[in-house]
Amino acid sequence: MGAARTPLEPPTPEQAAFLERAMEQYGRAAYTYAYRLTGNQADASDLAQEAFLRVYRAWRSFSPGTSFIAWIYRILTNLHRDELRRRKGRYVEELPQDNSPQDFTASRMQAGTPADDYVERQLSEPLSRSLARLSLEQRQAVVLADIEEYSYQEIAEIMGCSIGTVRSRLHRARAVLKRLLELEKQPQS
Amino acid sequence: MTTSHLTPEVLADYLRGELAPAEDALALAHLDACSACRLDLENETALTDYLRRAAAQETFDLPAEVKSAVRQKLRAARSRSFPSLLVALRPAFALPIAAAILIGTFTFPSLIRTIQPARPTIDATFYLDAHAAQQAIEPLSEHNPMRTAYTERIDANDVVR
Repeated sequence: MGAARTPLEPPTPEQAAFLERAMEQYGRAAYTYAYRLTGNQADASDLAQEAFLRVYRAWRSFSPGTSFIAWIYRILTNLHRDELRRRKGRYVEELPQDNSPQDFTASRMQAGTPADDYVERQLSEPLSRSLARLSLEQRQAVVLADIEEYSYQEIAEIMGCSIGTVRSRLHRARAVLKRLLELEKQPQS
Repeated sequence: MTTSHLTPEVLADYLRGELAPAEDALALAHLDACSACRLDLENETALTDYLRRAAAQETFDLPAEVKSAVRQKLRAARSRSFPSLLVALRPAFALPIAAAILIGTFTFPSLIRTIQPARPTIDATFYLDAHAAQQAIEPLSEHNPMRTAYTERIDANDVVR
């Protein structure tokens, strides 16, 4: 992951305890989400590490009573997007227009840029393989809606976009997945 | 009941309860009457079920090395925050500092004395009054300045009380 922009302040006992508790209670969920975004364990580890350092730095900005896990998902989502942007030099996530046809097999699989390699490599699990065929935003939407079961409103807050955008990304992602899963089932039948 | 079939988008939103109440009611009414849309709804449900089942099999603990890397960074931040203290504790710095303190103690003992705690002092006006009394020409006369001075002091005390 990218280097920390500002040096870490020394931990207060309160802050260190907050961080330990966060890693203990939400480490699994955060790391799994990082894995779903990145598609491999090495990058997921880097992403999770940077996210927990962010949690440590920004612990006072967390509002007690709100969802901690939604907060850390938001951190992970932003960090992952920044990382892709950094790796690509400039961030251009090829999110197709909502009304245009999407030829995902042509555009996603033959890419070969560092960011695409980053997403595509080391995919062994079926879900990860399927998710890797989606654009970053579609992947985030489908993970948060279908797997994590967040409402559109909550996803919009995590992803920093409108509910309409969440809806269109999710529907497009599901259309792609339906086609993919049908394709994957054919050789077995 | 609507005549047109429900789109996959509407079905997916219906599945999540994300439709507006009016749209939700229309969708429900349509599904009651349309077996094709019920089948589509089952397909939408199947996709979500597949994703959740697959996700349940792919969860991972936060690796121990990630935790230790985070803790290591915090320890590094802590050690960076006390550089002056750590430097002062090194023998190369601590010995000259101790020697300078010892030499200073013996060379400038007046410095030590100045550090002694302050003692209670008497108001300077007391001495001025006393001196004026001793210089009086007629100590026991009616114009005795000592008497005047004491009288004023007593009056002032009375006012305070």
